[in-house]
Amino acid sequence: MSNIILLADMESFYASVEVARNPSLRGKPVVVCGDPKRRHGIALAASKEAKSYGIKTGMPAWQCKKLCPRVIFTKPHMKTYIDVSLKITGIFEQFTDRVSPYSIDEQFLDMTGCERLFGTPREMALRISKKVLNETGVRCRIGIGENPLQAKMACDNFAKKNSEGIFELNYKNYARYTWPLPIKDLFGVGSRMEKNLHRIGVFTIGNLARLPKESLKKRWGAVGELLWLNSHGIDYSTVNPSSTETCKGIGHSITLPRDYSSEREIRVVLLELTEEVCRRARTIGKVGKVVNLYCRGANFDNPTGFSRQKKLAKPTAITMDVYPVVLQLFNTYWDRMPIRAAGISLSGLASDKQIQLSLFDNEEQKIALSHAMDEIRNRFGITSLFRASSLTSGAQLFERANKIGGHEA
Amino acid sequence: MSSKKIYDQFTCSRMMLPEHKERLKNYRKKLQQKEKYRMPLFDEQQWEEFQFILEHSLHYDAKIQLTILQEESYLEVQGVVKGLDTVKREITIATESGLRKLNAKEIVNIDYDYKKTP
Repeated sequence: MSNIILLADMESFYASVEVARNPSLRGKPVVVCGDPKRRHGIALAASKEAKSYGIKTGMPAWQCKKLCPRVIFTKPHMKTYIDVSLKITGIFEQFTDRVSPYSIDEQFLDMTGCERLFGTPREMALRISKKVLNETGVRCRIGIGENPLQAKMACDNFAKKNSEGIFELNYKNYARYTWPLPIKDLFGVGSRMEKNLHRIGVFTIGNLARLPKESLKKRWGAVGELLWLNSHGIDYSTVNPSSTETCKGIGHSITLPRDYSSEREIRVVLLELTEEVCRRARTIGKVGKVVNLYCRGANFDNPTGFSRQKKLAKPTAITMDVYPVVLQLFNTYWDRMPIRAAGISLSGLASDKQIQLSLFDNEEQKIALSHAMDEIRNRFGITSLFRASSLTSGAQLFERANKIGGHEA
Repeated sequence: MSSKKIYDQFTCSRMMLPEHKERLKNYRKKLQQKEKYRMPLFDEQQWEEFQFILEHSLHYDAKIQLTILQEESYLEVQGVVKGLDTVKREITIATESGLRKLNAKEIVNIDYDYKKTP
């Protein structure tokens, strides 16, 4: 018996939720857009009507306006989107207990063994999407496969493009449908990999599938092997609802409201990012071994910037132990060009139950202090206790407090 | 690179806001909690047995033990039945700390109290 895996993707999720909240927007070109003044002024989502004007996710607001003068902009409401996403998870759970959200607008469902209850995979998909539409006003497109990869490929490349919003791939028809597609449509192929593959004469998924697996493995290691498997529709992953995901790293990044060129201002933001990353590590009881700093230059056409990492002297989640390393990375790799975005992540996580004792550093005291600060912030809010530098120009702490993903909650 | 990606590519590439993850975790936890403290379904014979034990206690002062479900916690009550109100669906029971009225709807289990009391 084969497995039945569904991937449901919510169409124009943020925009659909906005329309459901405010029915007067129905049938109009709606674009959910961050604050244009703060450079988050890009389209986070566009309704079907807006998309018909050529508006795409990621476009700056002015360009949307140019393409469609009567476009309606709405502010994002991140908390509501999470609410609706969870509500949809709840609806899916009425069909199966194996539901695993993949992102805010995509969720995997394992419907294996539910044929007697809900019919063929196609009938299941129809029933599920109807229920979601009725209860939330959001239309979902569903890819069906015998494993998560086939479901994802069916959804991204076919279900999203046909009128019914449902498509089924299986081991039998996988090659027939996917092999003619350009290689960038294969799950796992990013823009860099696309270029690499073009260089060795691979332009379609079929081209890749016909290469020997060993040669790809030799060239790109596990990534090459994975892509080869994907090109054949083979996937060993399962839909794991609890997904007690062994969190590999904690990262936090920010797009700045304007380009920062003063070193002092950048340092302030780096400290705030370090603080946030360390705070999150402490909340889940982890310490990190490696810190990664990423900075992106301001010039879009000539992308500059770097992403470098450094091992810490000892595993830690104490802001003031991590920050000097961040600064060290920054001083070494910054080319003095203005910066548009920055991110810090902590990886190589381990439990904070064990600490390395040091002769001179009073580790316990520092940990206790950090936890005391966290407790105060948890209770009275993130802005109740902060570093004085967050009051200086360039600081983003107050701007980002109460926001989700950098957008209006 | 580890081969974990080969066996679990979607967990590895998952994109979720930390706030979303947190809320999902809480939601799952609550669901588990609800499942753990769910009112069981009894068949008719079970109700008859409960009824029998209650009557027995009422008429012969047999000490019994009741388990009731109250807001996500189990509560055990030991004592002797003093009254059964079939209209209000209430059981009056004499416990060590005095008379108590229990709602029949909350009852999960009724059994004789086998513990030896000094």
